[in-house]
Amino acid sequence: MKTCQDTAELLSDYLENQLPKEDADLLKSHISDCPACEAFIKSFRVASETTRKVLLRQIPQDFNHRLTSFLRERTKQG
Amino acid sequence: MTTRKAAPDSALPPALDAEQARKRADKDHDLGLVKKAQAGDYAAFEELVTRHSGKTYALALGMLRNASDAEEVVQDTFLNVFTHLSTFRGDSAFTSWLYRVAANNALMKLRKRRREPVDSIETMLPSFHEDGHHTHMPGVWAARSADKLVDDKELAAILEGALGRLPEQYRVVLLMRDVDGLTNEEISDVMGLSIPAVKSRLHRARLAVREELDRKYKKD
Repeated sequence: MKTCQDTAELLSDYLENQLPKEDADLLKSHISDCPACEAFIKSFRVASETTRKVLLRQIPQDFNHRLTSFLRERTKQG
Repeated sequence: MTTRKAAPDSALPPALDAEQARKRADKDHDLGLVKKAQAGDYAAFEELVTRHSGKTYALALGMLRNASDAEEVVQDTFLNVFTHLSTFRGDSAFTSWLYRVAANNALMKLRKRRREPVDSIETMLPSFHEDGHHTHMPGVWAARSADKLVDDKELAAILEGALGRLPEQYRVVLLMRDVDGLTNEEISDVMGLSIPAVKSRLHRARLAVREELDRKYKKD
């Protein structure tokens, strides 16, 4: 039997299919009966995905152009 | 320790299989470009820059939380890569090498700054009742999609604050995995950490960022 705390501790391995089948089955069984864990897992995934999107969105539009111009100048190309 | 890597590719779930195939093709394409660049083809070097400048910037920005410092780190990183390109032998992915250089440059810049107060990771982790049950349900934000949440400036500020409060050895692992898409094995190689240490830092960092969002977002 797994608790919510066990579920939280094993979540990355569970979501990346890295848990032994026996543990994964125990977790699945707990989650299916636990709305708090179900919501926790969703929030865990959403937080990771949002972190990625928030950072990638902040790349300035002309950044690559500025960078390649800088590098050409510093490496004496073009 | 359980090893699951013995499974042949055909046994992988289709999504994982496709993802691995895409990563392999990307890695091979990078290595082809590196070889051309090593032979003096500047256009090939520029293609490497264009392919990877965005994620390198995101890594630096996540580490430093300052746009001009992040831009400087990316410039220095690609200059370093250009200068030392002949030493890259292709034993690991080009991106492993690139992000190692970027992370080192970002860490050097961080250490030149006045020390910022950093929390112990323990204070950022979720708490549970004595019997191991959750103390509360996650906030309503958790039911929204990342695509919707990403437009919210309050959330972006909380996320950046959370990254800033993470100890840097946790922050860098989280960014390499969840933003740059390195595998645990690649991060282990880049950071000189064991795979269990990578997995532990990554997981705790993810829990901490989630917890910060849950504690601070949409609380009024």
